[in-house]
Amino acid sequence: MKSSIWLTILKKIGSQKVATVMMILLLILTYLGTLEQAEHGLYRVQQTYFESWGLVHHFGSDWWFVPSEAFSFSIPLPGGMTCMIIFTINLLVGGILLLKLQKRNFGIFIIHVGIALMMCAGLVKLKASDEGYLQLWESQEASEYISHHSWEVAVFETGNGSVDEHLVLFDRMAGESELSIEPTTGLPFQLKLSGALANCRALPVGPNWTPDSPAIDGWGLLEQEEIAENEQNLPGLTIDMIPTRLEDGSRQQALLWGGQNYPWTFTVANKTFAVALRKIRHSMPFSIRLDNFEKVDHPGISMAKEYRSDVTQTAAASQRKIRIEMNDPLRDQGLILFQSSWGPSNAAPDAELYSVFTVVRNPSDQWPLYSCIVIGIGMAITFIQKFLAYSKKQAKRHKEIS
Amino acid sequence: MSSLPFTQVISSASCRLSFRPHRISEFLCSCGVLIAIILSGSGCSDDHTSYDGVRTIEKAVHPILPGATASQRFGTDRPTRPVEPDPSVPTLAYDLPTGWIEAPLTAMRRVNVRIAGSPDAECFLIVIPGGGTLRANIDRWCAQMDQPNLTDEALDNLPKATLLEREGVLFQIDGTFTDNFASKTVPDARMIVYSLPLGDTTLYLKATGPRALLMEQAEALVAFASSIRLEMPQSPPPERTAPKVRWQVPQGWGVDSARPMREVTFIVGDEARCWITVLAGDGGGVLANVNRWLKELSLDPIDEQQLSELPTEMMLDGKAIVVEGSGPYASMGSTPRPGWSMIGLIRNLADQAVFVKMVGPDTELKEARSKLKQLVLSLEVVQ
Repeated sequence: MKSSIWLTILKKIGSQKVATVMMILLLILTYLGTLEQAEHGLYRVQQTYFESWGLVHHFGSDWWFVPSEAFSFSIPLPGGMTCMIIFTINLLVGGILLLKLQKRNFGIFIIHVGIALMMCAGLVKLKASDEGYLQLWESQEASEYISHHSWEVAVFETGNGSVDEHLVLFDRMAGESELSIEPTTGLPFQLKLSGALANCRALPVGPNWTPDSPAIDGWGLLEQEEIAENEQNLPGLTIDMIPTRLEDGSRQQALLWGGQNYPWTFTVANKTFAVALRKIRHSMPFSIRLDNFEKVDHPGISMAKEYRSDVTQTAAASQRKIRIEMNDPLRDQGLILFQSSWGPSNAAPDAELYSVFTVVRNPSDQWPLYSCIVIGIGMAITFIQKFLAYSKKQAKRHKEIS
Repeated sequence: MSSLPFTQVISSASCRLSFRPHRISEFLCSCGVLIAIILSGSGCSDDHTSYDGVRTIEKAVHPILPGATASQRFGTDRPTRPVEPDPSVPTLAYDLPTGWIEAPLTAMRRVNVRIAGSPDAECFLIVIPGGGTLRANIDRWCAQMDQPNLTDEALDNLPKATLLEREGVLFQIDGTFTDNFASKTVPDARMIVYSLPLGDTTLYLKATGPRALLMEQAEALVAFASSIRLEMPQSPPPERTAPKVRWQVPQGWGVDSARPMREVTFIVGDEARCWITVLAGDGGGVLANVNRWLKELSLDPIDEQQLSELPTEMMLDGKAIVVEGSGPYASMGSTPRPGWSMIGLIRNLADQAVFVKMVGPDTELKEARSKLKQLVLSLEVVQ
């Protein structure tokens, strides 16, 4: 009895109806997300529509002859994450677990395994990958790349030589009025982070505006509406430093802003420390030096036809020269460096340019390729089986006619 | 239709053959746990009071301006990107007094230092096209120090001072310094400015800070100002090319394929080979190499005294030590070959050592002895 209940539930979960509903929902999400992207930007739409558990979509009239207040309603929708998880479970149950594996449907089974692998690649990319950019002028060298969207607070002792940066993710401030960070080895003070603003400007406090943060040293943070292009948002917050021991120094307060020129510095126990609010920096296991950047324009206009970078990659014991250009990235030690951009965009014709690489660390980088190979094998098996069955059937039919 | 044997294996692995409730629930639980682990994998730490991580880097990536005011941190005078010097263009150089620290350069400041490391005392050099009149600038500086303007007589009598090996004007004033740019005020301050018109531009070396500190650092400031100079960037020293050794192949000898570490390998006989090696410095020392060679023949090592008694031959315009021996020859772990001999010559030059070594069966080496002498005499160094 119990067995049949489980089987019924499993059949429901793995049914084609569920798969069809999920595919339709994913189609709707893709359509609505694409439309929303124009207004809210790629990053926010990606988070709201494709990487969320659920969302509420607002429909409004875009036609001039229909007043928006007369045609406006909202509907809740499952997010892309929910749909993909249900779709994957549906696939695992219906396409693999419940599939009565036989010679005739072996190709179908292989195809389902390939699709499941593709789903896994997506999940691993979502949860375990990071992405950023590396901007280099000619003869400049770097061994780290900077996140496009995520911010962190870095605390370190100033001085020459190696630096230990203690990091607090800015996202931890979401929904928190204050975040307290206790002292740790080498940092004899407590930090209190408060008043986080997603996008703001640091301005001298004047008579005509009241800052959205405490006014410190004559400056304050003015909150601004978030920009659709998330890369342009500059967060800010207020930081309080409380020495562990009273004799080490006094409590100090400062503003941190994403667009600051210099980190905030303070002295505790005769040591100078710095705090920077910055985009997350990821270390690379090698360094890249830009030797030469070349941009070729279309004839007569300043639009780039192609651009490429000659770089020197230096690892612990080796050095090699590589050319990175569009569709020909550098892949090494789990990182992929794509030639993505250049600048400054308003540079004079003979001015020096910098090269921008998009750096991706994705453990499942090659999985879609493997998935396509598996699906291709499954499809080939299925088509051959179908073709042989059809040939056999036709031969039998001809035999009967003759 | 019957199932394939290997599909049965896969099927059994996927529980198809045994739909027992506990198996199915185990499967679903496993899926749930797996998804939960993956989804929570990149989450933040549960500990809300600690740092998320530590990153160790070779050097700081941020320009640091100790004690920077909010105006300096958030204002428009941003630090500039460190640029590699162009070897064809002279750059500003200076000798930094002890205890002074360098601050990041900005678009305006070509030299930027903190006097005695104090956040309130700075010294910087700016280059302004035109630069305004001396009177206008001094009036502005007087205003910054909350002092009345200078009289014409005092202006005419400003002392001369040397900057960049040229004669300029020195202006000094005490008062309360208000830096509008950095939004800070230094009471009981001193300002010292070197002004040097240079073609269409004017250079200003400006030092400000607490008067007591500037008085204490007066000598250091003068030394610093006089050390500022234009200097061609130091280009890396040209790569030294070690002199090459050249030889003439003795008649009847062939040249073997290239081998690591060897300049050349000659085919002396059926088994006998001779090769030349050139190493930097003394190549590890004569005695060490001689004893290594003797060990290859299972012979006892020698000491310095015995080394000095070894025969010599003329090679590369000098005397080369000659090592000879016979025994079971084994090199780099090879099987010992009994009845082999070795003749080796070592010559130390100024910054490199040249080794000539011939090994092979006794009979082949006896025949090749005269050819080896020809080879040794033919050696020459080419720069």
